[in-house]
Amino acid sequence: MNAKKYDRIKLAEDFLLTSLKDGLAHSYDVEKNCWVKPYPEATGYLLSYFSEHFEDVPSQILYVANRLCRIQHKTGGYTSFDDNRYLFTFDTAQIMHGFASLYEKTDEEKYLDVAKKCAEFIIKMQIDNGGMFPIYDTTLNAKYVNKNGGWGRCFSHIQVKNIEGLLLLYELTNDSRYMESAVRLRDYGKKHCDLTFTHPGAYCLEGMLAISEKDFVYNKLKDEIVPIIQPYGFSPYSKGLSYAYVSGSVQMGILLYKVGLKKYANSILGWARKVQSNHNSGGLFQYANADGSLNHDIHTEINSWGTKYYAQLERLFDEK
Amino acid sequence: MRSWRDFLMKNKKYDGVYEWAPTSEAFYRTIKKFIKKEDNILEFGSSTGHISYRLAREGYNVTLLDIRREPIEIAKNNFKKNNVRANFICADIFDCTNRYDIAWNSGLIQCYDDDDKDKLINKLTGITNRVLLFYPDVENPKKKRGTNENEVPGVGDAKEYNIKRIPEIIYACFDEIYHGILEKEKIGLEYDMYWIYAWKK
Repeated sequence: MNAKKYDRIKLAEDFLLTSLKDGLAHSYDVEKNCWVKPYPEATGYLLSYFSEHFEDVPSQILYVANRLCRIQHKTGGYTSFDDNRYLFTFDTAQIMHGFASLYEKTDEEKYLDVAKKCAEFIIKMQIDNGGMFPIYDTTLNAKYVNKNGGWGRCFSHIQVKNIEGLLLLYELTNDSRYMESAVRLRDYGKKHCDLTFTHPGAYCLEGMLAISEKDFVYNKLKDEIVPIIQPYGFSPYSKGLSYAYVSGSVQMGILLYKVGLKKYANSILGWARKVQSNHNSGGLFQYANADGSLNHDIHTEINSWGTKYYAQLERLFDEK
Repeated sequence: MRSWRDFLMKNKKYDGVYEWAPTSEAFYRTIKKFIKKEDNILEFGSSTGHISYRLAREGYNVTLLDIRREPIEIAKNNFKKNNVRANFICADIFDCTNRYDIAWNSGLIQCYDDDDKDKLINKLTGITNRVLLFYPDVENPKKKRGTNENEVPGVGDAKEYNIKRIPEIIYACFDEIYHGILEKEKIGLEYDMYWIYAWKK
């Protein structure tokens, strides 16, 4: 495949719309040839993406938005995948951003209502130092955190990304609680930002950038990410690893672009194009080797969020 | 068969010795989610231990610990009167050296400032791997906040401090935490009660 830029974006977006099955975004397992992991959070990203970049929101996106409206828990939270017992703060925040974006685009009050319910859930999960409980257990009606549970289950810097949705909702409603929560997350992010792994680290930086901490983000990228980017654009998931978490790499590319380190962003984009060219679906593997081929170590899936970030990075360079 | 709720609503007293309120019932139900029959259970700052009494009566192995002699003596008498077995210790929790499967308390943690909260939690990690604490929402204006710095923590008008950092302080010492609310409407108070269950491996 030697697609031009427009074709690359179109291919990625077609993959994203195709990933929507039964109202939720899925990943595609290239070895098993099937769609896997219905994912509310990733669906939220697509609401944001297609609201922000399309004059007319595709009908598939409106369909999945209505599905997401229906599956919101009474607390305002959302599950991750299809385990109904646990609601996830991070996932809910990304869906909140999706609905706030969709409201901004369509003026449909029902989307704003869902976003506000998400925000109520998220704010209740926040603790005094600005961090957030990651999980709500609907069986015990209690917040839950696990120190040894990885960045999805501990008090984690990834929650700093929730700033994006909180700030958008603040702009739309002028409710100061959303801004206060975002400011506390920013303070948490300053203390706990960790770029050991690209993907969760980028989530944190995305939130910091949204709240105007451009210098903080610039310095973090320059000191910790630029040194691990290879001349041909490959950036490992973590220093010394032989493979990349593609979404994490591309997220870093977007951040590098936004703080003015465009040379490195361009390099990552070139590498990401190689990844895309390695599968005819238009989507990008979740894990890829330095040469852009599929890495089999963890699983063999193409995911929607990495593909979405890739389309965003292509569009950024297009805008200039 | 009559339910416990019916029994308690009619009798108000448990076995004729203990008052039983909606808060007692809510605490009891929460505790039951986290204990096993074979557990050695410590209630520290127990006062007369009405919830421990019910647990002991159901066959749980409970120990009551309080720094004050009088409530421990009352508890001993109440348990003995109804032939209910338990262990009783009159001591400061900071002097406790035994080990327990789980330690729980209601209404004490908010009576320590953040430094002392930290010391208490650290102390608890030395005697158990599982803790369950109940504490009031002292930020609610309807909660009459204790002010007496000279009173024994957890007793009467003992001074109550900020509760905001409790999850963070406990997280520093334990691996996993559940944090829930007992809503005021359901427990007959004008303010919510919080509970926090933490454990380490």
